[in-house]
Amino acid sequence: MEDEKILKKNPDIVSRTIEDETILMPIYKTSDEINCIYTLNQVAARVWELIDGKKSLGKIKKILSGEFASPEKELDRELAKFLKDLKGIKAIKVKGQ
Amino acid sequence: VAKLKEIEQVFIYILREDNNRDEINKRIQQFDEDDWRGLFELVTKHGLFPVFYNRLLSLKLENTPPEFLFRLKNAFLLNLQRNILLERELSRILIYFKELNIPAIPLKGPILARYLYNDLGLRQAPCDLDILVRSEQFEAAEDALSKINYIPCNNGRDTLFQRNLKLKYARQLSFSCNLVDGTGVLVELHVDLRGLFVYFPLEYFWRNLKEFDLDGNKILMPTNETLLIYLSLVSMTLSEFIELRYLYDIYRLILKFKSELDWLKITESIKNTRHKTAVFFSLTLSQYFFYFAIPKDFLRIIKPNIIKRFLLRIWINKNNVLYKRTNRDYSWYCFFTAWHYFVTSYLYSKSILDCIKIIRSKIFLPMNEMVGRYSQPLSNASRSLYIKRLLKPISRLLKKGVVYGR
Repeated sequence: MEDEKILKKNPDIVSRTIEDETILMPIYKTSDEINCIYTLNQVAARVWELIDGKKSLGKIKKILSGEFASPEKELDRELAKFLKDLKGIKAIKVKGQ
Repeated sequence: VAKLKEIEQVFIYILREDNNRDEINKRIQQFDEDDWRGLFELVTKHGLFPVFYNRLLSLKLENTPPEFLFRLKNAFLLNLQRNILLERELSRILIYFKELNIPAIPLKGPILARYLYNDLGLRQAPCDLDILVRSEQFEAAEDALSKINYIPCNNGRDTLFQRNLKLKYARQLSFSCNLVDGTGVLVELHVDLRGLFVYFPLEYFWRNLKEFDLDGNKILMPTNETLLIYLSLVSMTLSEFIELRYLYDIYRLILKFKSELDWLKITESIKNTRHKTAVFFSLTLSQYFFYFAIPKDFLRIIKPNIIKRFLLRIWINKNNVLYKRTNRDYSWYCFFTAWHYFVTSYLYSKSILDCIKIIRSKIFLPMNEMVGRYSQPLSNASRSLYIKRLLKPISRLLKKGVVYGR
């Protein structure tokens, strides 16, 4: 069920790659997140790239497991943690919700 | 550039597209902590830190201190964030104006970052958005802004009379919008191109426009030729000193559109105007710093006479460009005032009679000009004080024989 979910990005969060680092920036800074800029690691950057409002979570997992040598469980754990973080900063939401 | 100090040379070389990486590497090998600090100050003071940081990354220089890069990166990201927000707001406003058939031209700001640098992050974000509308459509534009949650900057406390007075004399009104808690945008709605050293004919500006595609939205903006003249004039607004970041904009404009620029059209537009000297000087100075080709015929036609060129060299030299007047003391101000009123008037005049006209209009500034400068109407007493202050360096010169000095 979880794997069928489709995620989409918040258009108010933009990304930029600088010096091989992917950075997320909220455009509208609220008073509690003034100057908040988030740096993504390699896997997180790839996940962010794959979130396009079309691919399901299952498909993203499949692509990641083909690209990264990490064991599937570890990749799942890392993905779940990253998605939780992204939801926490309102960078993504589940399509249709 | 060879005459500049070491950190200034590195600053300029890094900004130039034709630079030699090995040469820069060799120069920065000798840098100590103070040099890096000095370089950081220079880069930020001139508002060129975003493009400088980008050039630094693309050059992949060796031995650049991590703290130096870290500080630049932070500044770069915050600037990018601000520019994205401003561009988004600008699009929202312009799209809405278009729906209401209100032609509007964004002046400078994020649009130049996109147009000249192809990247929003590379030009310093302004503190506000300047938008030019036709005076007959100002009220419609004002209404449109209020419908998208913009309010006059003093929370609408002005009476209609005060508002009309401000618009009549300052030729612009400011509006603000609080987008979310902590993020706001200021919009300055103009009906005139004020603040330029030499008046830019508004009709010429409106006649020479083109459309620019901003993410699928057609935005009105000046043609390249008009933009070049406009930037040349804009670069002289800060107390009539050349601003390096505008010289860099000119460089980017010429670099990007060198094959398309119609120099003949520029010549025709400026040859009989007071803009000629400003364009000549901004262009040659930009060329001095950043090195690019300008057609010789064009320079020959707009070249001022030998006395003017001599005075220009004293006025705008690399020190005056690299180190702004804010660092100077009051004596400099007195000297500058005398210089401003007599020498610059001569520089921009078409003839001696024209020069006298400019000086007269500067000293006995018409009330509307004065209000434009101070953004509010002045009493006759304030006006006399203003004239007195202007004449102070002259009385000083007559009494003590010196214009400046404590």
